[in-house]
Amino acid sequence: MENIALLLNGSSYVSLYIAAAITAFCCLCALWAVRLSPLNGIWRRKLKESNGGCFTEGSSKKKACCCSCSCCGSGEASNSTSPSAPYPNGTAGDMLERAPVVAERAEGVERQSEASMMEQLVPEITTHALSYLDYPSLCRLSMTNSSMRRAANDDNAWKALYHKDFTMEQDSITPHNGWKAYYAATRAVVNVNAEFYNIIRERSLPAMSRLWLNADYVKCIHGSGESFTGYDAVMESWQLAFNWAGVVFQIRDVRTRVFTDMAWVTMKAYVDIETGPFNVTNVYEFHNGQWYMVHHHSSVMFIGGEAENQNLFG
Amino acid sequence: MSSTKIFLKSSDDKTFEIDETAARASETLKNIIDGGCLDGVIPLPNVSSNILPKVIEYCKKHGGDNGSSKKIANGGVDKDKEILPDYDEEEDKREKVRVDELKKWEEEYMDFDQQVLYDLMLAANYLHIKGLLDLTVEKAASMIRGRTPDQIRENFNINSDFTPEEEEEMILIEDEWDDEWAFD
Repeated sequence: MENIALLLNGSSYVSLYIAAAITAFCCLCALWAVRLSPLNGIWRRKLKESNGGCFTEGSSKKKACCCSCSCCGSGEASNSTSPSAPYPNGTAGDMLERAPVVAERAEGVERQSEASMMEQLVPEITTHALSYLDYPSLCRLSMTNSSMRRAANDDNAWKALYHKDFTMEQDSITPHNGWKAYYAATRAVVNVNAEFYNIIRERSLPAMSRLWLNADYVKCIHGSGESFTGYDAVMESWQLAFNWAGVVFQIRDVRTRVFTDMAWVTMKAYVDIETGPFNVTNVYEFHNGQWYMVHHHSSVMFIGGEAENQNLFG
Repeated sequence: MSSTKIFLKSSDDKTFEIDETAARASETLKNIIDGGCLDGVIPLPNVSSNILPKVIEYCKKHGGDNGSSKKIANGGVDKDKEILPDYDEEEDKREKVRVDELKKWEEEYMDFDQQVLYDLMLAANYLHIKGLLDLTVEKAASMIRGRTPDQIRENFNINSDFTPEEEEEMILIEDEWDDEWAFD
């Protein structure tokens, strides 16, 4: 700074004064900055301490309802990602820390009376216990407190529950967002799929029109063999179908495969009229927080009896 | 198998006697016995003298087998069917009586407070007694199943660390569930 001032100095006294003034001002500014910055830091930190508590709490609240929300079956495979992902690690770490306490207790040392039995169990036993629980119980357990929530979010527990409630298939898959999110998404799709058959039973065209995605590429292949493409044509076909009596389908062997925003469901649909039963494939897409049907394919099931004549190509 | 005696020492230095056949119900003890590392007394630093007799009682009852009443009921009958295609009803009846008797025994055996349940779970886990672990864990699960979060907290003395806002939100969610599950 002073070098610059000296250089300027050569021209005139006026400029010297100006330069001096500027230098002084610069120094002042620098001093200000130096003195303020740490102060600022401390001040900010203090603010964070007093306010930040609320912030973290707010975000953990989001997590709290995540279990619940994803359980509710609204089917946000992608939404439930972030909260469920960190849990498995978190649980293991927490539980390991607690393990020594357990050992001491087993030796008859009476302590930790405020912590409950469930919170002190070693993780392998907790996981074992959770495998005896159904879906509502796991969700309710997760609502008792935060450590139970971590335990109840255990990936293996949800995998076991998935296989119990849905299918033993898909044993080797690794869901991106963990088994809990996959369970929730599957449940959501299964519910929508069941809703499809409720709509058929009740012959509700408005409900059917809300179920389908309004797009030109949706396709519907009825059990009769007729096929329709595009939202309008598909809706017309349902309108025609609903002119007849409502049909009550019993669906069995429902198998669902879910990706973030796409799912397909295969099933057998039984009905006590002369046609059928049917092999059915339904495809759904996830848009704006909701699953929409984009494809329905129903075909008459081949029934054994002439099994020896079975030929793949007719 | 001979009824060789095995001695187990609890964490608080008390010694208990158990038949070798009974001890084999525990995978951990079985490995020690089969491993030939048996040196008079087997120390069990994770099991106290309050709980060890209870464990031994279970082992005595279950001797060689490794399952709870349910497993025996299923496995036993199936085995009979496989080995003897024309298995007689008498045998079947006796099997049923045995299972019923075992169930009754389990019921009485499992009548204890939560502290014992907790210690027994840990002991069964440590000693790898699968049947006992299943039995105790199932009991713990039954204290959760079908209960509201408040009831679960009460059962297990769990203290909520949620904020009032979180609690409120959960009550709302729970109501939603009740609606959904009403149809199940």
